[in-house]
Amino acid sequence: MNRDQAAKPVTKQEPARPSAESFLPLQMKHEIAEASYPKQVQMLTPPVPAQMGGPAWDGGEETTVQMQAVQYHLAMSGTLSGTIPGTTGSLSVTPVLQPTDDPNNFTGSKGAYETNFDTVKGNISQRGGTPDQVSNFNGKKGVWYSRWGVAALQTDADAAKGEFETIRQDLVAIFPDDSPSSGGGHLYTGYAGGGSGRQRAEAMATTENANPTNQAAGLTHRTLERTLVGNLFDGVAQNKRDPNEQKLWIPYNGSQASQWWSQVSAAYANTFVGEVHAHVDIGLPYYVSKVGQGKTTPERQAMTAELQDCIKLHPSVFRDDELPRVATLMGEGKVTQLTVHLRVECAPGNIKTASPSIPGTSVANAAQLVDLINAQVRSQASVADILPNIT
Amino acid sequence: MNQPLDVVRAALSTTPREREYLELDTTGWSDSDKALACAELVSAAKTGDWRVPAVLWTVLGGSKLENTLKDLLNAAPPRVRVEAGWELLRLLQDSFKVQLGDILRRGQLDRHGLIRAFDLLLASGGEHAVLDLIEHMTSEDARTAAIERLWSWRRYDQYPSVWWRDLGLLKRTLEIPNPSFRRPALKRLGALLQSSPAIEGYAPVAPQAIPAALLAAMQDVDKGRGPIPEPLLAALGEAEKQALLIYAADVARNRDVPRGVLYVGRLGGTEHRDLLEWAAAHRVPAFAQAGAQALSELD
Repeated sequence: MNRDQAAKPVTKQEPARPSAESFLPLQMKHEIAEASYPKQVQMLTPPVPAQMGGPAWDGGEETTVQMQAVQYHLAMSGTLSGTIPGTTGSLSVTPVLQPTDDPNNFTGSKGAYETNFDTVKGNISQRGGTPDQVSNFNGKKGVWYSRWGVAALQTDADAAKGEFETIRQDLVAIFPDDSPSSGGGHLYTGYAGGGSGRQRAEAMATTENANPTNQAAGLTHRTLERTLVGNLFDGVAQNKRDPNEQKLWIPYNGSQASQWWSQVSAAYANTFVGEVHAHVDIGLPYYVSKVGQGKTTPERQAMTAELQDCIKLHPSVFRDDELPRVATLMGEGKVTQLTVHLRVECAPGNIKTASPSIPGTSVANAAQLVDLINAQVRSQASVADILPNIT
Repeated sequence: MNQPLDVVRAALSTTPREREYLELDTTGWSDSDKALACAELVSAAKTGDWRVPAVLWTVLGGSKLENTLKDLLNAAPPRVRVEAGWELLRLLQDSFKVQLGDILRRGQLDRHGLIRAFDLLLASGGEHAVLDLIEHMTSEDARTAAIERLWSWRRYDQYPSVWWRDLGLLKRTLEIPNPSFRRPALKRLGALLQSSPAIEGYAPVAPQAIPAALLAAMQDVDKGRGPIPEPLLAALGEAEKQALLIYAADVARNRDVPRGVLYVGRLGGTEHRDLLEWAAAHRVPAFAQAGAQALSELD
């Protein structure tokens, strides 16, 4: 989008949201800032945004809690100031979804959820869940899908976060034991040379769980999608190329579904103890292709510093969202080491693998952890290894 | 009255030693006047007047301004290219601030998106915009991400530290969204941004094991049952008690550990009543119970 287009939105002008800020005179803002939390909630309650005060999905209780969460966010912002000079303006938003979208109409998503739900129910029984726990879980089937779908389709990110959090907490309240055993936490990222970190993480977890020694000791290895909370909505939101097929699915991009994964992956990573396994696939040909675009082959090959900078762990959900949590746990002594199962595709057909372990004692924060992983990546791949990508 | 073209030529006739920048009052100029002025200015730029890119804003707007600056960046004397680059950066900064500012202020992105957006603002020289957003955001998740990226941008995470002391403890405190923790920590961050860790009195701390007494207390926060064991607290020094308070608040807010609320009540007292009230209003019974208990012990 260029600046002219930005100045004249041709798609959808974001409506002025009825936030608590816009309703409050300055004096009242100060009063709210000084008030206790229950008082803040009480003071901020009257202007309920129409979108938030919609259907009471589960007897209305969750809606109230969600409102409190949003109001609390507002109250915590302190001064509750309004416009930031230079940082507000007209937004042009592509209307991927309509507020009237009913999650039940997305039959592909609903079918995937129902399949997941039955799997999770079976897992609860298998993990020693009581009949009461199974019954409580079963009673939430339709409610959770509706609440999740409505949050993904019809709300903004902040409201969706509040809703998703209540669903996660509901599930945890029914069956709290959802974390991997000590040493059994698996994370993954990336895709390289026809394989993915996720495939390798799940394969390793399966192998470890089939190991009779681990079974006898009651040790479990889990990836996020093999926790109950992760499994429940795995694959429920999908992006399809065929527009007709997409109509059956809640999209991942363009809905708030990514918020769910951001929240549950953070909660999952927080449960790690002992050794953590990170299955990291890095496809360097993609990153090399972006170096020196528009230049001649010899010029690109001579850009040594830029090429060297390709050889690292690039920004990803894993690097930016999950690793910082692992780093914090390492600093606390809870995660004793991070084993990085590296698979680096230097060039088509040239894939290097290694599984270095980083001890917890060497890490104080995420930046240091990323630096240590990058050192491992660079010990596997050199500029000479990636030059064949430039032809 | 001087014609617009005369005004432009008069300005251009000065040297940068006389006038460091060009200033044009375009009040009353028609579009054709501006077009003529622009042509004259661009011509001067192509012969080396590096003051021109900064004044093009007064005669051009939108994509025309952007394209003209790009032309100068690609084909003008070196000094002009530099200035054209700076003006393009300003254009980008304004564009990012307008397009991303409102979204970020409300936290309209998932966490990875937030981090990418703040990195983009910082990479384009928008540190002030990030500071504005930290002050005014309505989403605590977004504020957390902004603080984290600013911290990283300033390379504070390269400063030798451990989480339970000095700079590391400040960072940990900033991660707790309740105002009673975050507000004073933000003030300290503000001072730090104007100075440096060493000047602000944060000693570099080499990697080292967590003190045993603190570790034992942390384990009780995570896994303990019943009343808080007084001997555990008695074994802690003041600095360790402060670290335990921050730890307890962090795991209560960010890791679903209700017992952390009891420790906040015990160690923080009325100063951190907001966290206790947050817990008392929680939908998960264990949190609500812990919050109510901690509040009752205060009153």
